[in-house]
Amino acid sequence: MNNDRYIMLVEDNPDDEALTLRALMQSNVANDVVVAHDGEEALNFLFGERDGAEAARSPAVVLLDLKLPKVDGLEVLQRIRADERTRLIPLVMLTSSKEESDVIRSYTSGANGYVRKPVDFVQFAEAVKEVGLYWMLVNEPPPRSAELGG
Amino acid sequence: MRAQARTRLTNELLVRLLDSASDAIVVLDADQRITIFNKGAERIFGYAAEEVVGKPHGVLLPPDVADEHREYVRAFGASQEAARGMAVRREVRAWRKDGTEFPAEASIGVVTENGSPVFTAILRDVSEQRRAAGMSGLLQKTALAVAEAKDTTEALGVFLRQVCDAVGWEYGDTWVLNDKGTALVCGQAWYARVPGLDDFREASLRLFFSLGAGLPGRTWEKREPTWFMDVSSEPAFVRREVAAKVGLRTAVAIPILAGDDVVASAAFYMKDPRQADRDVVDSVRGVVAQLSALFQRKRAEEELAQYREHLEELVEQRTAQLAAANGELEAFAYAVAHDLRAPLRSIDGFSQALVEDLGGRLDAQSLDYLQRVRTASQRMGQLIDDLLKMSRTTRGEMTLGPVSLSGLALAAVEDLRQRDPERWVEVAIEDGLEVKGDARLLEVAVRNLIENAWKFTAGVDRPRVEFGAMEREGRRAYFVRDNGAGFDMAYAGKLFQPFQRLHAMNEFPGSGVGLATVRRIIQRHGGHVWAEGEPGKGATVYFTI
Repeated sequence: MNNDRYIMLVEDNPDDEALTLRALMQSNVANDVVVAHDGEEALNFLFGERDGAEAARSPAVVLLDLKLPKVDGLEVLQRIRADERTRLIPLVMLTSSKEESDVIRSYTSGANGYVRKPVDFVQFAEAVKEVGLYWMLVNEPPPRSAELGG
Repeated sequence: MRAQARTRLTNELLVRLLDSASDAIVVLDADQRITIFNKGAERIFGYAAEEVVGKPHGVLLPPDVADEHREYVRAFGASQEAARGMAVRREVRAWRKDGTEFPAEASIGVVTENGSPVFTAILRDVSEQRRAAGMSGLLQKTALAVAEAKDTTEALGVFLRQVCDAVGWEYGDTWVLNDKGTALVCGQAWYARVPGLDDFREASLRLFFSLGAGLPGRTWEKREPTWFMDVSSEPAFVRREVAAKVGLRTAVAIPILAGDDVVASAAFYMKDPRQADRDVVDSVRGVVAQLSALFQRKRAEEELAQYREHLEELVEQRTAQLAAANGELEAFAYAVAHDLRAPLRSIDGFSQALVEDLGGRLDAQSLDYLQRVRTASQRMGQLIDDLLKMSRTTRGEMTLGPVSLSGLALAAVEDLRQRDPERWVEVAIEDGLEVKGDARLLEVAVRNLIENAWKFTAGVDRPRVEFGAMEREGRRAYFVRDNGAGFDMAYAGKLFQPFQRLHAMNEFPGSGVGLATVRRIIQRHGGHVWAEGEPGKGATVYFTI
């Protein structure tokens, strides 16, 4: 496993945070998870207000909730896609609803995936595990040069 | 005896006979000079006999036709008809002593006495008949014009001009009820281009009359024609000064009604002083009846337009309310989708975490309780999902197009066979059933019905599901029939209510929104849905589209 890589979870609900972390730990895909609790915190982290060590690397994948305080998930997504430094970061929506409008808006704004959190924790853990595995291990990340805007 | 009874025709008797006639009898000699002028002639022409006897008959004719007529009489004297003793009848223009002209019907004959012709003319004043004919012509013409008029303005214009022409009025105008119905205001006018009448028009344009005021207001109040013989001395006539100045004397106003209401008044004026003339008024009222019909129609059209406008307003209002309600529903559904499921995830997730972390240290009963907690939260999650699915079927636009119900039923059965490969169900689907509707919604409906039939035949020996169409009360009804668990008709009304279930959960699982969803979809297509069944003998759900 590449130790350099980490998952960023943007989640305001502490229960969901705990459950998602539990699922990720169980799957052994991520030892390193950065959690932001609202959209603003997520953007601050990605756009600079982080220390030197983390500034050098972007997350392997951002798991982004849709309904967030302050700056909502959709706007976070759009801001990430609009910025040269972050536009190639893989991003998966991880949310409660599968309302058609939410799914469509997420994809048109540039999400790489859309996962609905099932009520059944066994299914939920399974889904998180698969997402983590895919983006951490299977997926080939964009080259760092491209990530930095060439 | 006969000879004694025969009256001797004396000169004196002859004169008395002639005088007893109501017509004018004028006898002319060979030179066409008047020799006999009876009492009837005196009355009609206004001359005393001694004033005209001995004079040429031209004094009884307008000067411009006297010569022509003299020649006509001479030619008649020499004609074959005259030779055979026949009289000719013709219409002539005659002249009274006062210089006024009148139409007369003349019967002219000739006899010969001592070799010289003696002409007799029997004349009748036909101005009355003429005027009556004029009136009926006016009535017909105006009726036609009114029927052809594109609006009441044009109809009133035609009416004013034609009535003035026919009756000899110099000025006509209309007074129309204002929108509030509080006063008659000056409308159109028609008048001959005679000096002064413009002043009268100008004075009229500044006026309006309330109920009972002035000539138009009186007619409005009485709902009957009002006749002023001399407006210059009539205190009720507001424009008496200007009328006196321009020489208008007689005025009559006639109400124009639409239904029972006076909507306008037409007034006519002439320079001659004239007694109220019932014939004239009646004739004009006949024409006004045509106008009234037009006003009535116009009013009906206006009312209709108002209703239509009101209806549009109402529809707009309702649409806005509906849009607002839909918006709220949308927001509600969105909140449910996001916020109601999150706590369930916590309940289920942490229960599972407990099972995983403490599994070995919990007794069987505790584990069972935790499992029940999880089952309940998952079931509630399912209920929320089904509820959202149902609410989604009532939202959104419908896209209508041809939809193959047979195809949808077949696809639903295929899916069920893949999902439950161990079950064997006999399926009969009628081919070629197609309707116009929303494909997405109808798929949900057909799928729900087929899945129900599939589900409720689980316990029977030879399960059978059928989809077809039949005539029911003159309409084409589609049906899904099964030979499964069925239901008691006493509960038929509950079948289509959301979350109403007629079977125990452990017997047949489900959230009870399937048929409610079907009903909403069918209702959105303007159709009906109903069910028939019997416990243990199966059920049939019918729907029309």
